[in-house]
Formats: sequence, C-alpha cells, structure tokens
Amino acid sequence: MMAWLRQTAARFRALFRAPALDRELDAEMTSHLEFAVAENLERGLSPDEARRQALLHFGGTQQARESQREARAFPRLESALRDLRFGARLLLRDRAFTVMAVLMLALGIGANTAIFSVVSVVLLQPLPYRDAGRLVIVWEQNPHRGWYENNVSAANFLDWQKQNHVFSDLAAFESDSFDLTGDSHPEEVSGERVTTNLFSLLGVQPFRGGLFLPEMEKKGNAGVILSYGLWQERYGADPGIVGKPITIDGQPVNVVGILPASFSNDYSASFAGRSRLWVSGLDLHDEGREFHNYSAIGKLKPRVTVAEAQAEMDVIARGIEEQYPDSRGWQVALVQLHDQVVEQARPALLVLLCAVGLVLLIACANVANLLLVRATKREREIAVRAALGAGRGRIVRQLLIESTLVSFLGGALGLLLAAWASGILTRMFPPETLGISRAGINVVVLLFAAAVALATGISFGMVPALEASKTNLNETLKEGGRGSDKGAKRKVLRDLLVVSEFALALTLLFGAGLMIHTLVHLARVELGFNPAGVLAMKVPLQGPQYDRDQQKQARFYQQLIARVQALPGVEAASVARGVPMDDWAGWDFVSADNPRPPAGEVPDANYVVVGPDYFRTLGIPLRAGRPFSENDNATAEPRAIVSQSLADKYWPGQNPIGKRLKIGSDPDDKNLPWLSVVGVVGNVKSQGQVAPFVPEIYVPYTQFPWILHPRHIVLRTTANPSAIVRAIREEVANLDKEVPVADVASLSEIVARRVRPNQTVMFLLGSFAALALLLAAVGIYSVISYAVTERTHEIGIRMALGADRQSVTRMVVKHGLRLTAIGVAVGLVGAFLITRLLSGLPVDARAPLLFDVRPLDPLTLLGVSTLLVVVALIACYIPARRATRVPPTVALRYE
Amino acid sequence: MPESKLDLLQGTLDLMVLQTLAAMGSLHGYGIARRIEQVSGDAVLLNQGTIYASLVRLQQQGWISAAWGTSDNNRKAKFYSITKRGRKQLSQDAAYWQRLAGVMGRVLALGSESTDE
Repeated sequence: MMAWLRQTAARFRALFRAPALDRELDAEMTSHLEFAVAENLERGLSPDEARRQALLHFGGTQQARESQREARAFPRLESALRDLRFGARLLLRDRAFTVMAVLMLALGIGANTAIFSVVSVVLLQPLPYRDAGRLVIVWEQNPHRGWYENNVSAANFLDWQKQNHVFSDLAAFESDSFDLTGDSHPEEVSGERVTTNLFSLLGVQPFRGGLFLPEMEKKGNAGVILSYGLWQERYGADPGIVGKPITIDGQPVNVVGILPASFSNDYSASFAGRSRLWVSGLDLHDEGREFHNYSAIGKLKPRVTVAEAQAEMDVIARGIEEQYPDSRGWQVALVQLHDQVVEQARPALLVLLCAVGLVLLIACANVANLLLVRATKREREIAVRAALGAGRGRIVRQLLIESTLVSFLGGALGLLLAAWASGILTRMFPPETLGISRAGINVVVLLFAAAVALATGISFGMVPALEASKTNLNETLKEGGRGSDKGAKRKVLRDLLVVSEFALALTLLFGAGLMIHTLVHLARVELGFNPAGVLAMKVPLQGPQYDRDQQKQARFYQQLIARVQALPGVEAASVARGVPMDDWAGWDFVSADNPRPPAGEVPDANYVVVGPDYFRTLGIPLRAGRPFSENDNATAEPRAIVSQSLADKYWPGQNPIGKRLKIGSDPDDKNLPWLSVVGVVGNVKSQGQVAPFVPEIYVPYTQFPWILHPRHIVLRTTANPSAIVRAIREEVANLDKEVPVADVASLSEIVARRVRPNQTVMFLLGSFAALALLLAAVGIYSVISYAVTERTHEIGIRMALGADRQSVTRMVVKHGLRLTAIGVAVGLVGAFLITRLLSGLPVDARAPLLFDVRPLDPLTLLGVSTLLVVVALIACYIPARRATRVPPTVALRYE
Repeated sequence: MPESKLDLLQGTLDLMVLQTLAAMGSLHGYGIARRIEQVSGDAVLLNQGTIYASLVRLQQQGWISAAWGTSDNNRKAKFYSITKRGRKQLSQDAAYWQRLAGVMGRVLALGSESTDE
C-alpha cells in the first residue's frame, strides 16, 4: 500500500515535470553514448564504426524516450490530455458551434444549479439541533371532524409524559405575543411560552447566561430567554441584562440567558425563527382536557423509529379516549421535525427541480443535434484517423472528450448564471423557509454542477459519437462520397430529437398554463368580504391593568374606535378578534334546539369578537336581521350574529333569528351565557381562498365574557395608509403610551399572501417553460435549416422544373409541422404526468399548488399547443423562405 | 546454428539492475547495461536504451537513488546506487526467483522423464 502510494505520487510529480525529466534523460543518453563510443575506440574501431556500434547497441533514442515516459507517468492520462488539447483547438476553430452549444448548456445547467442551490439547503441539510433526526412534532388529530395537525391538550400532554416509553424527553410550547414595556417605547413581540426542558431537548447552548432550570416551571417563578436579535436591538447587546428583570405584560421577569444568533436564523418551527423571546412557566395543570392549545415536540430514544413511537402513542391515545369523554375521537400523529419544516416548500421545489431537468434535457437534445450535424461535416477527418489506425473506441473517446469539454464550459458559465439567479430565487421564497438565507453557491452545489456537466456531456455526446465513429472508409474517402444510407439514419435521429424537444416543451408549458389558470381561479374566488382599502393592525391590551378586566379593555377600544372614526378619510372602523385569512379560532358550540349532541358530533364554528361596524368595514353583507349596535352592551341580553353557512347547516329551513346557542360543549356551563341570534351575514373565506366556507359566530365586544380577547383594529379608508397609521399610533399613545401597535397590513396584502407560493411557482415554471420554448424553437430551426441546406440541390431541380416558391416553402414547412404535431401528441403524456405531479403531491391542504383546474384541462392544452405550433411555424418559415431565394443556377451546382 | 538471445521476461530486468547495483555499488546507466551483458555472457538481448525505463521505475519505487557525478575518466554521468529499501526488495525478489527457477527446473525435468519412458 505504502509502496503503491509512493509510486503514484512519484508518477504525478513526473507528469508535471515532463520537460525537465526529458531533458535529464537526453543528457543521460548523451553521456551513455559517449561511454560506449569511448570503449569502442579503445577496442580499436574507427571513430565512425565506434559511433555506429554504440547507437546500434543502444537501440534507438526515441524508443528509449517513449519507454521511459510510459514507465514513469500515466500514459493513458497523457493521451487523454492530448485529446483534450486537440478538442479545445477544434472548438476554437468552430466558434459558431461552440458558442451555441455552450450557451444552451449554460442555460440548462445554470437553471438546474440555481434550483439545486435552494433544494440543497432546504430539503437536504439537517436541522441545526443535536440528534435532529430524532426530533418529532407530536400533534393531535380528530379525523372524524376533519382536524389534522391539531394543537395538543395540556391534560393529554401530561398523560403522554407519564405513560410513554419511546421519548427521552417531551416538551410543550405555545406561541404568544408579549408586551415589552417599562421604558419609553412599548413593543409587542412574538414569542413562545415553553416548558423548561425545551432547549435542553433541542441541545441548544446559550450564547450568554444559562437555560431554564426545572424550578422555573412554576408561573410565579418564570424566567425569560432572549433571542440574539432582540438582545441586540432592544437591549443594546448589554451583557449585564442577564439575571436582571425586564417588564413583560406588566410583570417583572428575570432574564435567564441569551440564545446564539444562529438559533434564530433557522426557521425550523414556530419555536425558533419567528420568536424573539421564550418565557417559562407554562402551567399545564388544571386546564380542561378539551382545550387544545399547545404544540409538543419529542425526542425519540436512540434506535426508536417514528413508526414504533407512533404505535405506542396510538395505544396511549386510545386509553385516554376510553377514560375521558372529552377526548373522544382524538388521536396522536407524529411528524418528523424536518418533514414538518419543509412540508410547505417541498412540493414547489420538487416541481421546479423536475421542470429544470426537462429544460436541461431539451438543451441536451439541441446540442446532440448540433453534434450530429458536425459529425457529418467531420466524416472525412474521422475516416482519416480510422485509416491511420485509430480504433473505434479511440475515436468515440476523442469525441466524448470534446462533448464533455463543451458541457464543462457550459457548466462554468451556468454556474455564473446560477450564482446570479440564486440570489433572486432566495428572495422569492418566504423568508421563513428553512435555511433559505444560506442558499447560494457552495461546495455541494459546485459538485452538483460538475456532476450535471459530466453527465450531460456524456449523455448528449454518446449517440452522436457512436454514430460518427461508424465509418465506412471506402465510401467516405472516395472523392465526393456521400454515405447516403447513413445520412438517412442521422436524419431520423435528428427528427426524433426535435420531436422529444417539443414533447418536453409542451409538458412544461402545460404545467405553467395550469399554474396561471390556478391563479386566475384563485383571484376570482368570492371572498365574502371586500379587502380593497381595508387596513388591519394589532393593538393588544395586556398587563396587570387590563388582565381580567374585560370592561376596561372594552372602554379602551370604544374610545380608540371613536377617535379613529373621526380621522379624515376613515369611512368605517371597528374592533375585532381575528381578521379573515389571518387568524382563525375554532370553538365548539351547542344550539338550544339540540343541546346534547352525541360526543364527536359537537358542532364548531370560528369565533370572532367584533365591534358594531365590523361588517360595514369589511363589506360583509347582512342577509337577515340586524347588525350589532351600541345598545348590545354589558347590560343587554347576550347576542350573536351567525354566518349563512351556520344557519343553513344547523337550522335548515328555519328562521335563524331568535335561535339560541352557547359556546363550548356543555349546555349547563354557568360561566357562559346563551346567546340569541339577531342577524345572519354572508359567508366569508376566513381560512383562505381554497378552504370551504366554515360556520362563523360573531359576538359583540361590548358584551362579556369573551373567550378570546379582541386585539385587532380594522378600518376602511381612502386616505394614505401610512399617514393614517401614524395618526392611529398617536391616538393609541394618547390613550395609553404602554400599548403597542403591531402587524400593520392591508387586507389585500393578507389575501395576496395566501397565493404567494402559487405565484412563485407560476413565475418560475413560466420562466422555465419560456426557456424550453425558446430552446425547442432553436432546435427545430436548426434541424429545418440543415435539412434545407442538404436539399439545396433537390430544391434547385424542383424550381428549375417549374415549382413555384410557395409550393417549395409549403414542402419545407410541412416537414417541420409534422415533427411539431408528433411532438405535441407525445407531449400529451407529459402533460398528463405533470398534472398528476402538480396535483398529486402531498401538499399542505391549505395551500395546494393547483386550484379548480381539471386534469388535462382542454382550454390550457389548446392554448399551449397553438403556441407551440405558431412558434414552430415561424422557426420553419425562415429557412424555407431562404431556400426558395437561392437562384436555381447556384442551387444546381451546389454540392 | 548459434543460439538466439534470450528475450527478457517482464520484471527480470528490474531485478538484474538491483542485483548489479547491490554487487557493484554506484554505477551509471551505461555501466549497468554493460555489466549485465558481461555477466550474462552476452546471452541476454538487451537494447541498452530500455534500461532507462527500468531505472526510472526503480527510482519511483524508492529502491534506488540517483545523483549526477563525474566518472573515472572525467565524464559527467548520472550514478545510481541501491537503497536500504531496495536491498530488502532484492532479497525478497531473489528468493522468489530462485524458488520459481527450482520449481520450473523440477517440472521440466519431470516432463522429459515421462516422455523418455
């Protein structure tokens, strides 16, 4: 082994020192011959004879040189290097071919590398936690009611902790927003309430200070850990803050530690990237089993698989179900943390990866076509080489080295394209996509590009190389020999390549067409409200002075709304808990008509706390009864307004006005009043364009108790949004300078956010489809032009015999159209497959890639086929026209 | 009819060079070639030029070393000498060749006996 290594190393040295070694050998041979001549002279030979004998004995200096070169280095590698130099010279000479081929491959490889640069960080890189592969998110689900990936009930979580044997640790957390006060600028930040073991479970090390201690589990003894960003921005990176209290929701909480910046860079789950701080003291005890409020994460014991853990959790869940009626229908579902995190981005990325793969295939087909044409031109050169003794393998190798050289040039240029495109790409994905900030050109991406270049070089080069190396010496070397049978075979190959290009292009165009269709349909969805001109923002009231005092909160909002309504340009304003498509709170309710539905059939609805003008502000139409008024206050009878869908579902054919319902599943609950329905409003797409209408229950914010506190302000305005927001901030500060204003957004923006993934995929798929179309057009253009050039002689004869230009043009265009038609027909299969891919991927049901399109949608299909045919017509017409412009005298002489 | 010269089997030249250097100490290429011819009684067919492929091979394996120097009659030449590692290799290879030669001799003798009978 050592000897082999030493020898290989010596051979490499020899490879790079070849000229010096050759000189040394020459010197050695000179001295060798001098010795021999001297000895021969001593033996009495004449000087001439002495020299002759010496040379004869030596046996040829050139052979000695060759045999030493072979012995000291890598003879095969050296000849490959010679082939490479030869190939490079040829490529330099044939610049038109080189530029075309390199450009096409650069587009193909560049697109692939750019998409891969995103895929590699998002899908392939492990999460930055210790033993990240063992982390799973633990959900509850209730398939009976169609609830999947549902939050977890605290009581169930505590039972899991006690009963399971598969997790080495199990932690819970709850997203929340926190008011930071105590200095001049109040701020609302998002964060998590967590069990103290979360960070030790993740294996996170603090940047400063420490992590939570078990005794901080108690609410009265809670601590806070700050994100690096919050520490920098709000606390000026003061290391002294650790151990000191800060004011959170009006209460002093001790700062336990600071997490490293890298923790926040990874948007792994809600507990990381989006959170600015983490507060312990998540009191899980004495909470009703029916409240599903928490997220849970577990770390599997070593060597326990997800399936094994799932099996045990199934058993535990069944036990809980039998024991407690409140848990009827609830199951446990485990999802690996990594899967959970990439769930949203994966389908889009897979589709795009396929799309760029197809683009590269088209580029390869084009280059293969160029190579076939080139092979015809080089027939004589190849025949000469074969005649001089080059075997077929040697010729194929030479041609493959050339094509790989082209593909590596394309790859290098493509890498530059990818570096540029990857910057654009990363901005198109939502910033919370895992690891997206790290996407870019790195070693893995570089290796990928090199591998793709090598694979393409060999794949597009192989067929032309094998074709070209089949030489018939007699035929080719004869003066003017044409090898007509081979010509016919190559023509079929070229036609095949064009057909497949069109089939692939159709597939991509169809996919892009479906995405456009989807966006059009999404834009046309009847939302049930009018988002134009509506602003929404959070004005949350927290802290001891508002806690548990709903009246006080209501008074604050009453004053604020009165002031906002008085601002110039404000048409309507209201308080709300929840804005459509941004916030949704499902709650059980029972109707007085059917107060005790069987367990598992308790109805549920979206619970929205609103002000009197909410419906007018959002443009939700009143269908029956009346809207809320200022008179629906604490002293009046509790009231509710329901959506049309709720009325239709639970009181079909009856007058919903005057019906009574109660939030929660217990009709005897004394803490919650019966609400009487005073109005019915139109349905609203509260969970996004794609989800069906769900029942909604609206309650006035001036009546109590609320289950959820109002915290949004919505207003319809014609004024400049930023001026209005500034004015509102002032009004809020005038009322209470400790109250923050956060998450300002227009409702149109909130609606648009929902379709952004579809837009991204549409845009990218559309760009790749356009690229594919361009490449296919170039492909058919080059094939038809070549065919025309080959037939110049024949066309000349036809025209000399009286054929008019039109009929010749028609003949040429017909050839192209026939190829296009076959390509389109084959492409139908591809179109079918891409529809399956786009609609069949395991996507998030809330944001599918396709919406409301039929598989093999005929309109889209017709559209893209027409586009392809038109492009092909133009690409064929140009060379056809040129063919008819050649004067017959020239054409007839053309060889 | 004079006996034709022996073609060298692959690897035998390397062994001869090693043995020559072990016996004679430092030698230049011509010296090695001449020495082998003399010892073999001119029975070996040796293009002297091929010795340089063998020398570079042995050098790369670290079995011999080389340095430019001056010969007795004041000519510049590259002198080769065997290394410690080369001596080890030589003793291994020599033992192998002797065993092989012994076995070959016995096998061939066996063949001629059986044809005699």
